[in-house]
Amino acid sequence: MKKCALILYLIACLALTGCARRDAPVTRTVFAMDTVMNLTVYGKNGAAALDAAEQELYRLDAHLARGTEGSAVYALNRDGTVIDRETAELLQTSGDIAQATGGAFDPTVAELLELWGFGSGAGEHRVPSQEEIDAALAHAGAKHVHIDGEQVILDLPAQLDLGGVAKGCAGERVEEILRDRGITGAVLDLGGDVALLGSKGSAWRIAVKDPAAEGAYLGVLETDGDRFIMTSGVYERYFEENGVRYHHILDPKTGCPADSDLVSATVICADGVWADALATACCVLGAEGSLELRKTAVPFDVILVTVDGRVLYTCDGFAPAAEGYTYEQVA
Amino acid sequence: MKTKQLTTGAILAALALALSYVEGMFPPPVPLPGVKLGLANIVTLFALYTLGAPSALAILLVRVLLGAMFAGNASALIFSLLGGFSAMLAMVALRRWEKLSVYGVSVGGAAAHNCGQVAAAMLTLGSAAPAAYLPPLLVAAVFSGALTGFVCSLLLRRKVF
Amino acid sequence: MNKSPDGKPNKYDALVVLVVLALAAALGARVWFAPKSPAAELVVSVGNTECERIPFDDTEREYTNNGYTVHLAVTPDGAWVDHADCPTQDCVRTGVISRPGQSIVCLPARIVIAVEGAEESGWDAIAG
Repeated sequence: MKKCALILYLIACLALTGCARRDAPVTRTVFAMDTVMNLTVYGKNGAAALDAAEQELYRLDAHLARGTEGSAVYALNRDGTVIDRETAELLQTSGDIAQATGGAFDPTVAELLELWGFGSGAGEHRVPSQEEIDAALAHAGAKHVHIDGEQVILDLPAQLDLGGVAKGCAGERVEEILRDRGITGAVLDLGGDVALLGSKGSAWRIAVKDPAAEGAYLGVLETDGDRFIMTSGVYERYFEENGVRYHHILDPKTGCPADSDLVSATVICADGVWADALATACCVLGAEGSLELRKTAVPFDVILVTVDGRVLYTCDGFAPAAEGYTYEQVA
Repeated sequence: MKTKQLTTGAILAALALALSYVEGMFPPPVPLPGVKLGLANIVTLFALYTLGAPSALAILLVRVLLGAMFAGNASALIFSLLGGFSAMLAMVALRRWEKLSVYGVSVGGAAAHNCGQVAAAMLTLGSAAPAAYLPPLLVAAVFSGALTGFVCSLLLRRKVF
Repeated sequence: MNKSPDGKPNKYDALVVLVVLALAAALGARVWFAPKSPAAELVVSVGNTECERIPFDDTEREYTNNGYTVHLAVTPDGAWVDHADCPTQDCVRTGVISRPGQSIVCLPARIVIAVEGAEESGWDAIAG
């Protein structure tokens, strides 16, 4: 009797080691897209997969960066046309998002960004005059972008900047590459924007930074994989002049820093490019506008931090952690 | 296997399932997800004494597998499995020591059950951190083992089955 | 099937209980008195590779990479970059870091100084 039980027990243990063993995760730090990225993968051949992912990040960075000579976007901005499937696809999606958000997200704000000094060049921060803003506004707008198959035509002097979707796009490309190599779970921290692939065996837990306090967290989000968690915040880049703070999230309609009631917006969405762009759009639209947007755009959840100290969130699985905020779960 | 054994076994398995569901409703004794009180071990212990180890093992398997399926939670499987089997093993071994009453066997089983659960937690989390919870869990095992033993001794004395 | 002699607890049961309690005590002692792993320490990575681990004691370090130099000051209460010759100075502006998960990054120099703690942080990544 005892022997029988013992044998069965040992068999059970052996069987379990099959399920319970996981290859230890492999992590890599990559410097790309003007930020530091930490990639962690679970599954076999992690290191080789990460090599491929790293190369793809460098390639995309060089291909999409506005300021890099030789990039597709650089060529487009200079010549008014470029033939490149990736850029065309990305712009197509950007156009869809611009439409869905009523223009709150707009990749043609490049010129405006330069005016304020938030561009890719080493422009100085300053408050541009209304004439300068109006002039730049005249060239902005998704209507200046025409896509025909793989060809993109830009009505110069309009200028494009894909920085608002670059990390979302990078996340998606890297995930494709990892999946092709048999990676079953990965967490990609692309400078604060997180892409989650598959599963590591237990739920993903993502801490969300508190914009007001260094080292503090708004809460922890528990979620499944195959999601993108992208954040935009007014605190990321700004300058002060005469006691007024000007941040980098411009309202494409006014050409000035968006005057909304949000400090930051974190978007959780299954599509990386949408998540990236929606985060910016939500900051422009404000709390109400963002929640309205959820009814019409692709499905997404948000965690919004308002200027009056409220944290509005629409997802289950978010556990508040900070004091000093009023948390509200909304539909 | 005699019909009576079979039906008794089936009833006990159902009982164990029910107990394991109920104990899931209690807050976990320690902040480790998946750790349970071990009430279902009452059934394992009782089955061991009345039906013998093979039947008790079968009942345990049924309880663990179906329990995990009903909970819809595959990670619960490893906790139940390691906890239940460790308890089983310890109880079968301790029973050999004839001087030991059902209380001793039960406490030993409860202690082994908790060790199995901690092992499961360590495997799931991939770290040695859960081991720190063993000391309080072992102390708790003395109490839960005593309780289980008490319930069992009542049942055995009444010769319900 | 051997039944127990009777269903009442006896001195042998007490022995089992004692063994379990002794085990609990022994494990408890091990956790309490085990040489504590360094509470928190700084991990400095240059490029992609970890280059140094520094405990939180009064000290300073200088790292040069990619043409830029970063000067790190460490005290028991925290660490910070007091000067660097990179153009953006984000590393200097980050200020003091002291808790696990916090980090100072100098992008131009490709240098990352992060605090690694003894406990797991409990999450897979930080968004924001």
